[in-house]
Amino acid sequence: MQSIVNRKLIVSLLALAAVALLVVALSATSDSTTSDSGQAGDSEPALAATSGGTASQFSVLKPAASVPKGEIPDAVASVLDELPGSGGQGNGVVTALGIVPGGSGSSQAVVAEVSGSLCVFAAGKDYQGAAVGSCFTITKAEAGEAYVAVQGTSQDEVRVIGIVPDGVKDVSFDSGANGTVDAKAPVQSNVYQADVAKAPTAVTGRGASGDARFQANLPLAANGG
Amino acid sequence: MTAGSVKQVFAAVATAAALALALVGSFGTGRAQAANTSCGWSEGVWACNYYGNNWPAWTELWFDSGGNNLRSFRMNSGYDSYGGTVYKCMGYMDSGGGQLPRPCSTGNPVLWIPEWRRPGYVFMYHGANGPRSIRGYTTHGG
Repeated sequence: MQSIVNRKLIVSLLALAAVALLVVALSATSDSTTSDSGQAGDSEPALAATSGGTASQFSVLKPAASVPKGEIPDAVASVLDELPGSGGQGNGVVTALGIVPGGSGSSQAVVAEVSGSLCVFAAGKDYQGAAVGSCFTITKAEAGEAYVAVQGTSQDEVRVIGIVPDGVKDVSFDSGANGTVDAKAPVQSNVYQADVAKAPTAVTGRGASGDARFQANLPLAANGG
Repeated sequence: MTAGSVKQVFAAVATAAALALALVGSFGTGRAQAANTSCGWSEGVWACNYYGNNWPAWTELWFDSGGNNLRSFRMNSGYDSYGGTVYKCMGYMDSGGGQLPRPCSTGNPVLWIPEWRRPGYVFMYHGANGPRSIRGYTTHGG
């Protein structure tokens, strides 16, 4: 009797071990080093930043076809050509563009609606010839959460470039989130830019009458963020 | 229970424990990946994804194909498994060790590499308050 119990126990444990081995093997297979297609998201469809709404609250945007190609910085035009669609699927389709006026050879900002997402890019000497930017859902852009923090344009600071909806006149920065406004930046054509300290920063967008339209927290960190 | 059966039971338990430990190591925080990249040829450029599953915060995840990682990269963009809510930074280092400014954000940060800085290496990291699954999507020339 005791021998039968022992055998059952051993069989159960071996079955458990076999299942564990199978799970490990399946996990290794999902980390395959090659695939037939390299389009983003092919191997991991769960990775997605969904788009939502339309960008009607961003008057800087004009139909893409109406914007002369010569006005778009070369680096930004290149990245728009190869940007994938929303969630990294397929090829991105640029439907609207906005060139932020007042740009220079040092820095020029462009807003683009790509496959239902809203993107902001910057290019110029400040970025060593690169284009930097980020894409967001329109919902996040309307909430003031669409920004890119660029490391490396100056030694101790981070350049923050953000998109805000119509009606936001300026943006204030509370570095260290201690209740003190450390910097303020005007909004021009739905875009603001500022160089701020490398520390967690609260960003508040305000309308013409000073009313707060949104507040977002930037997790800027001295150790690389 | 005989001495022989005790040994058998002990061996089976040890086997199961070892496999359980292997599972924890496989899915645990910051699993090291020797080769984590998948690439495909698409309309004249290589498009590649590189992954960090449960990747630790503020730790660089480098494009690693297990082979030649010095490539003529054109674009490095970032994604996460949480609807674009994870703060991510995209980096580039050229063959001389020089780096480009790094765009960081939630959503999908993008870094376009100018031709005169190619070839080089790409990497990314995230700033969440714990391990997260992140992905880099790159394009590069042949």
